[in-house]
Amino acid sequence: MLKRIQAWLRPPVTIARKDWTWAKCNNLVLSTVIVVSLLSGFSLIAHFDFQKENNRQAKELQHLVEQQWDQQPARHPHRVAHFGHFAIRQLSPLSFIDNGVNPFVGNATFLEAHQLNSTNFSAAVDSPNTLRFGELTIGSIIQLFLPLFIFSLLFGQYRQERDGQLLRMHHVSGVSSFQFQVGKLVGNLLIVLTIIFPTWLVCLALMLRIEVIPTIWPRFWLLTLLYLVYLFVWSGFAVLVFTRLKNPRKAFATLLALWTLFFIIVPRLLPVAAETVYPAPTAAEFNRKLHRAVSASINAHNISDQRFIAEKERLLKRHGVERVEDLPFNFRGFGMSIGEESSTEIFRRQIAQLEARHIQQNRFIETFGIVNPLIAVRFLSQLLAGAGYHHAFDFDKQAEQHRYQFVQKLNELHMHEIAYENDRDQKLTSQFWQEFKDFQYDLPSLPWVSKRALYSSLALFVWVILTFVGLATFKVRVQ
Amino acid sequence: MTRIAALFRYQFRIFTRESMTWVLVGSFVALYAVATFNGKQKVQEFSSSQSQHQKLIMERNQAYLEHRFSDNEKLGRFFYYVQAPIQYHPHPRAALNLGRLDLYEDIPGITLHGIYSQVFNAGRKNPFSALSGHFDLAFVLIHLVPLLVLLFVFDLRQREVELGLRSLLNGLGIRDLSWMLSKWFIRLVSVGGLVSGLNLAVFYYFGLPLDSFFLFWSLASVLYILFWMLVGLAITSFRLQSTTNLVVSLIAWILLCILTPASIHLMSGSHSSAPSGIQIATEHRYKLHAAWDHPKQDTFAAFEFTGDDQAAFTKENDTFTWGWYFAMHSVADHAVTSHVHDYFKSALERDNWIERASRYLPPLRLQTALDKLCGVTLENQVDFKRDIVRFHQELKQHYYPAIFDDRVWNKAQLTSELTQLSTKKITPNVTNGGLLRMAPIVVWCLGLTLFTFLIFSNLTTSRRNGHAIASKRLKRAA
Repeated sequence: MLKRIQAWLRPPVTIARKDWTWAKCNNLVLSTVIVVSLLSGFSLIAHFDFQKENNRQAKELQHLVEQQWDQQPARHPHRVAHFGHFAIRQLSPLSFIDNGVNPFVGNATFLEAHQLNSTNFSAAVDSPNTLRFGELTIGSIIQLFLPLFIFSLLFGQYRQERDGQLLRMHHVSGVSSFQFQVGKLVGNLLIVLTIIFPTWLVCLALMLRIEVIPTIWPRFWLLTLLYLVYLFVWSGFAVLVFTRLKNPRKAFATLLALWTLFFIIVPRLLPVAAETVYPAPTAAEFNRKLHRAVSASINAHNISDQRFIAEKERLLKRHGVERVEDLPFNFRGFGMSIGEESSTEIFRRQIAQLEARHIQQNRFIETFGIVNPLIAVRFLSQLLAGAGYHHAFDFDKQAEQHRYQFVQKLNELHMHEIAYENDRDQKLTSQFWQEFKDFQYDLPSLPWVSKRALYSSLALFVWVILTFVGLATFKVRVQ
Repeated sequence: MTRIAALFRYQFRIFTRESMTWVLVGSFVALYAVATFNGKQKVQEFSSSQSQHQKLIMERNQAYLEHRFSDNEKLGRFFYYVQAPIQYHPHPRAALNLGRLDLYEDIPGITLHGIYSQVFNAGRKNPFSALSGHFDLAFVLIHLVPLLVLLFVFDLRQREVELGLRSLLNGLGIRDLSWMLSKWFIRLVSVGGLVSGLNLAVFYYFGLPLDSFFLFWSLASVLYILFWMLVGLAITSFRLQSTTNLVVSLIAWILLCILTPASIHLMSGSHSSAPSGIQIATEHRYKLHAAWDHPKQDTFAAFEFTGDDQAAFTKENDTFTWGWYFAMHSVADHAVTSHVHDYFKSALERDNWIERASRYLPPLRLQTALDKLCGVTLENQVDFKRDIVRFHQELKQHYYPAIFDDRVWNKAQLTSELTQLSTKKITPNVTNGGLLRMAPIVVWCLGLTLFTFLIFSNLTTSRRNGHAIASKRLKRAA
């Protein structure tokens, strides 16, 4: 059995070795290695440096706002609820590999009572318009340019093989189409991997300098696997196109046209289509809806609010008293608490609806991963690097949870530590503020990531299967 | 002359008879149409959202007036609630080049509270759509037109060589250079004519005047096409195989349209000593609450220092007044004003750096020039925020005397005040003309022409030398 496998593997290994030798002597390959290494090295260092500096500043600022919170003087708890807090976003440790949506996502949210503010200060807001030319990261180099390099490599080899009748020789010597194609695939994949290997080693070295977060290493290895699979798919696809089309020039021109369409035009057109199919409400429509919903909720700041009065009546009845002054806690604090609960529920519902629409739009784009592997890989890569839109939404969610917790804790203090009489003039000492938890964003776990990566992973898996099926079924056109 | 005219006529006939020409032209027109509709839709959406917002604020103000205020109300309390609406009108040209329209802050209106807690409100947008970028006419012109051009010229000479027609043409006495240049010229005129025609149609569709901007857009388009035609010509002049030409053309396109601009952008993000937006926001919040904690007289004293020229206002003792409340906000604003100034300045410095770098790169040059002409630059966005801050200052100057005097107004006065709070309309500053901005592209074109000429003459000389040596050897052998 083993001998049979060895015998079967011999031709593909020979073909792969031949391609490897060809590449070693080829100036184009050598110059590409230099260009790719320089570009990716530059982008790696620049992004890593930016990430380090950005996270250092974010950490310092988060520390500063925590200090400001702890060092507040004696204040009324509701004052403190309006003093509020800041949740500051740090870039995920793998952003230097794929920066994803990071530049377009805000970096800080102001958290306060009765409000759910947006996350502001994205990098894009104070960046020049050149950002729209695309970001140069190692991720984008692998995703966009390495497939193009694979096409050029194969073109060079096939032209030589067809002209030199090598294809016919392989055929005559009994090498099957599958063996031949596997050999080509492995050979080219090895060349491409050799090109990015030094850069990936630098990535690894930089990773060792990053603060350790539990999920980072599995994410990094999964990202490595993802790019391997991606390059495998494009190599396989290109091999199939070259072996099926008799004329290498035609095959190459077809691949170049596909590259322009799939890598340049389609990724820009799809969001336009997604916004047409699933239109999101404009800022004004969203605010109108939100305002209406909030107006219908309990307003604890307005004592003539009918719902608030009804709540008050119910409470008095439950405690068997006639006046709010006789309640065992401060009624104003209670009012703040139920008001917060009611408005938060509305805010969260409205924002969840808007987010759901954005997710629908992005899912629509993701669907095209089945047609274009770049789309699937783009989503997966951003997700694994912690720079996807899901992570941005998750940051907002964690910040909002923090907001709700501290505001309700302050309302508790208002209820139990502040007397109803002369409420506004009372203050709590700064000791109370030190009991609050700091804000800490936790990068989601791998199961969380895998749940969101399901569709794109499936699309990529289909591509892998199709590549194998194609290699096994399609015959090389020798003539 | 007749011979040349016949050559051009012939080339045109061949060019128009090729199915590939029509496939490319058809796809290109379709992409142009999509970009046009998308540009129009985006600008309409933006403007409609702005007017809806304005309406919403007016309604909300009215509702406050009806339900929250009694007949005699302090003006300070009135301004605690009401908002002054703001409407940003992008220039109609933005439909051609959306630029950073989707990155603008969501500020439909402002209150008299501290301005720096209002002016950075980003709103909620889909980040993935923002990352993908716009599909507008500027994108088509800067990124896709070059591809079309390169596809038309990559096999200018090699086509005949590869089809085995070169010797036939030589036999007919048609020189290599004139054949190639006639082909090149026909393609230049065709693509230039097509893009100019489409530009005219688009301007008509958007209702834009055929003014100096149209002239700029048209000339810049043609110049840009000429640049890429020359790039294609320079590549073909090396007389490599057509497929190699295609690869080299694509590499040139990637380098000029993607990699170099992206690298320049990466370099522009050098660390700045200016405070970040987050630093400003945290400091503003801190100063506001610090002013709240201080005795009210101290806050008033600090307020006088802010230069709001309110020294004559009544100074209250330690009881709550609306004057004190707004003074506190002013003090917080004042505390960060210089930081905001530095923050804006640093952003503009980065923009200027890109502007300078763009001199060396035609696609970037065209993009920055079109951004300026369409009012979608970073500077426009900074101006938008500065205008809002100025408007806030104007409102303060107008209303603070009454607020600090703790005046009481009746409903009729408040209603009339509301109507006076008409919408502040902000429009971007756009430049006109500026053809000189395109000078670097002209220089590139001249350089490429010279380069191509040198390669041609070098190749021709070496070929002649080669022939001479070969004939000498033949003679010697004979």
